[in-house]
Amino acid sequence: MESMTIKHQGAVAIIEPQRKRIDASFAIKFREDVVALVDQGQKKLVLNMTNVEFIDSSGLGAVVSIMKVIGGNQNLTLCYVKDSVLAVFKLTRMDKIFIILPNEEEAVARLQL
Amino acid sequence: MNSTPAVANSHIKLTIEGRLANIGMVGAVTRILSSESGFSVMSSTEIELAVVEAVTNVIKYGLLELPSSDVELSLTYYEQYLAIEISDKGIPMPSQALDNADGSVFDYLEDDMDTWPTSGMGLSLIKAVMDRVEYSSMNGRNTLRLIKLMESVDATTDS
Repeated sequence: MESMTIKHQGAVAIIEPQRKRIDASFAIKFREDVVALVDQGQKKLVLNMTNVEFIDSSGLGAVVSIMKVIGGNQNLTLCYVKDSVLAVFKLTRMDKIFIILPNEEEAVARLQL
Repeated sequence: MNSTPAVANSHIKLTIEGRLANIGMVGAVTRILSSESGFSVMSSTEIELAVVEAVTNVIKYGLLELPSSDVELSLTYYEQYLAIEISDKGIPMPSQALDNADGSVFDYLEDDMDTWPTSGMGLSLIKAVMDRVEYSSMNGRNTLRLIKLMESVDATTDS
């Protein structure tokens, strides 16, 4: 199984991790794969978290790292974040720095503002 | 808690080979067992998070991801609380690590990207979701003990 799918809508790349868990066994590869996209010139990203049921500090750290590389929350949005994942964002206050939207359409639109 | 020794409703013990690939299964099992024992969905997820963080720390820093070494996970479900022990025979956690995990890693500035943490959050997360966290290292065996009270129990009660 590939680790993530990527599709494009205009200048926005929509990344959908295919793993249920972004933990220490996956976080490094996940970060590397997404950062590679940024290095290739991708400037706007949506993380579609439809499949993700669990994230730990390793996974969260990877997402934060991605946001730092891409230059902040004006260039990265998240969507379809499950309650179990959102809980970890809230425990770490990262629900205040990430833009988390209910669906892909809004997540893409936000980046096109 | 009263002074009568608690009787365990169930006790589960797992031996986990020290590979990060095993963490997902450990987390899932912990969550399911907790849910079956009466914890809410959110509490079961919090317990899963704490166990995953703890086991990950052991594998990465205690066992240095040497697959020949094991982590032992013990889950004991009592009427009023869950007692978790994560044990290993690897490198002990630094003595101040638990005290230093005071949640200050989450006191970053929202508008300053340079202050956002990308690592070092695990122990603080464990302490944030569990009601009691203790660590001991004795005779070559390291044990992290976690307590999670059932939601119906007053958190100020001594366990």
